[in-house]
Amino acid sequence: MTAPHYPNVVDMAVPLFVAAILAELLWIKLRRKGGRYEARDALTSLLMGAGNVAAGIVFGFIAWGFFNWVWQFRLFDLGTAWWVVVLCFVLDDLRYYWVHRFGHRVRWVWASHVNHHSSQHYNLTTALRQTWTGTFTLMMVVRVPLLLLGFHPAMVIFVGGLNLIYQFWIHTEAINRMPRWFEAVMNTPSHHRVHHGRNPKYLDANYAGVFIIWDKLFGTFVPEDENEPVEYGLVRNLGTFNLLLVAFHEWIALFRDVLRPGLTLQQRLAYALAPPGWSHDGSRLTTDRIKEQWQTKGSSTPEG
Amino acid sequence: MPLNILLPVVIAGIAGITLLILLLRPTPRLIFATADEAIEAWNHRNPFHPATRAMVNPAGTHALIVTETRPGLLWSMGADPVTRLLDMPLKLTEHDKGLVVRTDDVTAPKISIPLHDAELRRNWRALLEDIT
Repeated sequence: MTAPHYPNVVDMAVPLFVAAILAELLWIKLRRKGGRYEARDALTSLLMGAGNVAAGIVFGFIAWGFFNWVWQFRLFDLGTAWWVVVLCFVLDDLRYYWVHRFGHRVRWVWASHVNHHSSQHYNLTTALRQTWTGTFTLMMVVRVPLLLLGFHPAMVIFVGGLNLIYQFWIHTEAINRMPRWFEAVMNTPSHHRVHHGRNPKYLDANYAGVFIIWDKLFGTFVPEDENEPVEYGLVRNLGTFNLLLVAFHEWIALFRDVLRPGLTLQQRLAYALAPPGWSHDGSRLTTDRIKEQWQTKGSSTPEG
Repeated sequence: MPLNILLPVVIAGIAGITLLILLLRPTPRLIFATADEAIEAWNHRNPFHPATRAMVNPAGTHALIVTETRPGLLWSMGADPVTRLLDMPLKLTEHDKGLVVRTDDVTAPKISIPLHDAELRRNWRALLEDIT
């Protein structure tokens, strides 16, 4: 079988992204509701997005080479029929759920994904605030089962692009709720607002990409509560718009911790692989501890 | 999409969106008009270190916070607040328009506080040096 060819849908969607951002911006200005925009914040998000595309061009060959190497060990060859593409899309979304969950629960992966949560705004530019260092998390290995099952690497990349495009439109406050049936099955602006919340109630919830059913299935679903407005951003928000620090701050902090003098090997590994906020002396807060404090004392998320 | 089309679209898109936000200003800059406003913003983000006193700079962009345990800084990052407990070594430098606080916190390495008045600048510097 000759290798199938699929278009680079993310690149093709760029003009659509620009048009939708302009439309959302004008909508917010005219209606005086439905979101917030700040120039430096939005510029940071857009430049992170451009850097993500550039990183894909520079480092993309690593994942592509790895996928093609794995492909030679496939158990089946499922071909390129339309239903195979649909099946691949659904299973890839399950893959996305787990990669995303690791992205919040394993500091090594969080060091890359933290970028996406580093804005205190939630608008369509936030969707484009993407990592430059995704390749180095090695989360490409989570795609191995799809390849071994016989989904072609080009198809796996293609449906991953479609997944990313789907997630663009849900980064908005301009849409309140979708129809009930849609909210039940699909990831929506409401569900994803929760995911971007720093409120204790909303931490580590709604990891879904396209189908919210994964969160319902694995116990991580939290609905948006109208009595608890979402506060966007990180537990400890960034005090800089410096693009290099936005991209690399958690990697720098991680390596500083791992290389501290006087730690055991186990502690060094935990600084890299335990959930964000873990510390050998318990001086920092993980999201689990923040939630405990919220449940026992009713406290908001501490930033300082 | 070929790079010779993608690149101009990306550059024009980023420039156009940023320019439009600057022109429309849909969200105003966050200003702490009073010490009480600064205290309220601080307390929400630091529930275990409530403020006993706040001193806001004339521009309303930064506030020096006194708590029962440690001092802190609150400032506006565009439209949003950021806070830090000052439990780390600080390096202070003065210039004509204000005070620069440098920290070893990679998420907030340089905090520039506008303080145009020289006497006020000295006061803030003395307070920061005194409490940290």
